[in-house]
Amino acid sequence: MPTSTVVYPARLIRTLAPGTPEATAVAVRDGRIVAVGTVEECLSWGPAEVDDTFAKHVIVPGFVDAHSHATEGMWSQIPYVGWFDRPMPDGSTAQGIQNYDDLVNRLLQLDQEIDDPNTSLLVGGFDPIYFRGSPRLDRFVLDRVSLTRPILVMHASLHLATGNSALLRKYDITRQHPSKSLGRDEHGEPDGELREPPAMSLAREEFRHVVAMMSDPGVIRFFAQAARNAGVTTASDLAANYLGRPEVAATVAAVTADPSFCVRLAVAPQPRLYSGDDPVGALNVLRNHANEKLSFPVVKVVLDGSIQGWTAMISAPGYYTGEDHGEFLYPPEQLTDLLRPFHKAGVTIHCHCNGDMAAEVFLDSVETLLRESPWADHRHTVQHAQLIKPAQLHRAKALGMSVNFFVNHLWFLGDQHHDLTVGPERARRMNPCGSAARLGIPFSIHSDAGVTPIGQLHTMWCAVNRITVSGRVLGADEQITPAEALHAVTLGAARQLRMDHTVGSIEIGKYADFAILEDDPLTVDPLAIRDIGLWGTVLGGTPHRSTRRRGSPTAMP
Amino acid sequence: MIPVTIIGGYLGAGKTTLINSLLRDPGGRRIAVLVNDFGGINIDASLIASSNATTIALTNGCACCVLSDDLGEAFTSVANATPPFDEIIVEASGVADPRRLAEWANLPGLRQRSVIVLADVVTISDRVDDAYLGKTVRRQLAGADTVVLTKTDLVTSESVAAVMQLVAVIAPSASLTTASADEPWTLFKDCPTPRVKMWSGDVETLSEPHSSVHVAYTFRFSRPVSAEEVNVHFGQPIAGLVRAKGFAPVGGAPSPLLLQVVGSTMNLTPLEVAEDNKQNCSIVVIGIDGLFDVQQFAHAVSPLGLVRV
Repeated sequence: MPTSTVVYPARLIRTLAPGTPEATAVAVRDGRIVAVGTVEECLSWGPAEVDDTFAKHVIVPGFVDAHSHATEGMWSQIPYVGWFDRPMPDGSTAQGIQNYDDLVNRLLQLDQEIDDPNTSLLVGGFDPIYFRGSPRLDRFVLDRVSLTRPILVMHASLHLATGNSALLRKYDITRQHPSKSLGRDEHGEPDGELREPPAMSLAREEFRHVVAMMSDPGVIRFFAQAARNAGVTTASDLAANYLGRPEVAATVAAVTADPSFCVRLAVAPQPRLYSGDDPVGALNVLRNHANEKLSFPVVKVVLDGSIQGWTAMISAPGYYTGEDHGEFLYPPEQLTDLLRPFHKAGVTIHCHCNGDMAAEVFLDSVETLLRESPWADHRHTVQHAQLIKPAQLHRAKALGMSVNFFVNHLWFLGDQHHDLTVGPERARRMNPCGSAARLGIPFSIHSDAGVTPIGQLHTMWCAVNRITVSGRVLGADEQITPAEALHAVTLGAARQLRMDHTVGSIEIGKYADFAILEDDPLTVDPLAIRDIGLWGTVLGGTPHRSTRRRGSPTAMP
Repeated sequence: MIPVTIIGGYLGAGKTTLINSLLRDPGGRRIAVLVNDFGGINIDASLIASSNATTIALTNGCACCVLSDDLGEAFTSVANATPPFDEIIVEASGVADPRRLAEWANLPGLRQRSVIVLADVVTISDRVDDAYLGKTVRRQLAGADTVVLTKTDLVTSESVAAVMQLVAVIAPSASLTTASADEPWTLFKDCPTPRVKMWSGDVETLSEPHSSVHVAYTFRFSRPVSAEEVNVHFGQPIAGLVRAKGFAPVGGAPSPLLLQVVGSTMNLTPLEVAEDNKQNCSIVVIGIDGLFDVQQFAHAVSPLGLVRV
């Protein structure tokens, strides 16, 4: 079959490739880029069809998110009741819920859509951190929706849930129940709050449904659509529970191989203490299932908790308000042993470190491993790195490491960090992209979807402006330029995933993966980056039209 | 309902040693042991009926399973096994909070027996002040029903006494004992009521257990005493006293005895320590702030030769 070449003229192409940083046409054949430059230069490669679909658009490399989770797709399965408006993969927007009356009204509406009176109503994304002025959500609020249908509201942290009286009745959760993890009123009566998985598991069927949903192929498909709507062509699924489960890899391989599957999925399996005698062998078994849209390029471990959950490991003087519940998920002494087989086999390691103490432990481990087995191009990456300190950044630089900042926090939780969790000074130096840029540390920025919604234009906007919901600018000296931000969400992220030889820039030989924008993120007002319109993506030469007008979850309507 | 016991403690505290001895001699019980990894589990090959990556079934009806990410699934499957298990024992990871893990025992078919936390007397004093691990280790101890001191044969009785005092302050309502490799099952007693409030997520109104409401004082024995004397002074309620524990230089005993007082119940038990040293026996006394009058207490116990340090 003769292969055909398509030339896409554009208003502007930002290639992020040296020699031809700006172009006006790109030629695509067999899913790869064959030429970048002017229309004439592209046509000089031989006969081609000229497609003017993007003639008025700005083309940039398809965005890469080096820290996301396929769980973003779960909003296809359970209705969202979080604080902020949230884009849905089908193009609709779930309105944010900012008071209990709105919550009740939304639930009443959902209640009417379910015919069987015994079917439970399960919703998610509720976050009490935004309801500081209100009493905690309890069963009495939910009883206004139904006294007979069990209702369970999952909180955004996935560490808490609140049920109505019918749910408590269904599972015989009464005053006599021995659990200490139930919210109770002053008389000892359960108030509907189920704290932590042991208590959440008491709502057996509903909790099983949430757990099962996480590995549902439908969730992965919806995640791909959410990524497409954000201009993302390579998304990661980090710390996924794949090692030792090749059957899961086979299922996902089949899902991703479908021509309509619209993102490259980079899965980072999570090594565990029980991963067996040959964890690298287990990784290689997974790699046998790879295809053009599924890879297993790196592994990822989770070392501490979250700042907004008061479970990140933060050094003295600790949290600004509230109680320190910092937790390591591995004994620090065991981390090096856990990582050693991967390091020695040449597998890049990403490590979730929200708190600076977690970052320090990971830096120590990497330094030990590098002394044992030098490796110049390891690309070991500090993930989140929200509270990484200046001295730690210097160490990361000296060790040749990479950093991926969770800058979406600056918007979605910046005020809460300033007022509640870490206080003003540390809030101003959270996610220090400016420092990393000045030091020349390879870095990226991410969404951590489904914690915050995927949307690289929004993520760029956060790193460039560092503005909170209340309008504060957190640490202007840690802002970066739009060009640095664009690099971070394309090549920067691709390098961390060891995929920069195939994606991340528009250059000959790479996959034809593009984000198709309505404006140039480098020349618009930096405050307008998140409002740039987005046509969709091109993935391996195939256009995928977005079901939304804009790519950022926070864009002006 | 199957009783569930959680065994916690930091790395090196002796959790795996204890579990190996329970599996070696289950005393006729069918036990299910949930562990973090099989690395330290040491089972005689002749006892293994079958095994795969996550489960080892023993010929004596016991089983050893690796805890996966899905703890709910793991607990549910051991709760519903046929024939049913008699005991479920869970090894918490070195950084896990065993008290939180114990909450899984509220699932149908299970009940909480107790939370046992092991503390290695050689390292525990440093661990609780460690910048990285201090809070984790203190949280483990504070959540214990029983704290088991291990490796006491490696240090002097003074060191053991110092550790006991430390543990008493961190975990004032936990009972304290030393490891006995011969009789591991004596540790498996029901704890009447789990006491520690659970913390969860962003609920910050709950305070750290015991931190602000208790006061602790140390008293030293200036002379040997008799068991009867001790009983006279501690065998009755003392206003505001939560607990007292430490060593008593009991005349006639070859080494100091472990003294533990809870309410008006007093116990004197032999303790295995490296050296016999009756010269420097002390106890730590824990009371409720505002209720416990230390001066009145000091006056009351002065006939015993107890002097406040």
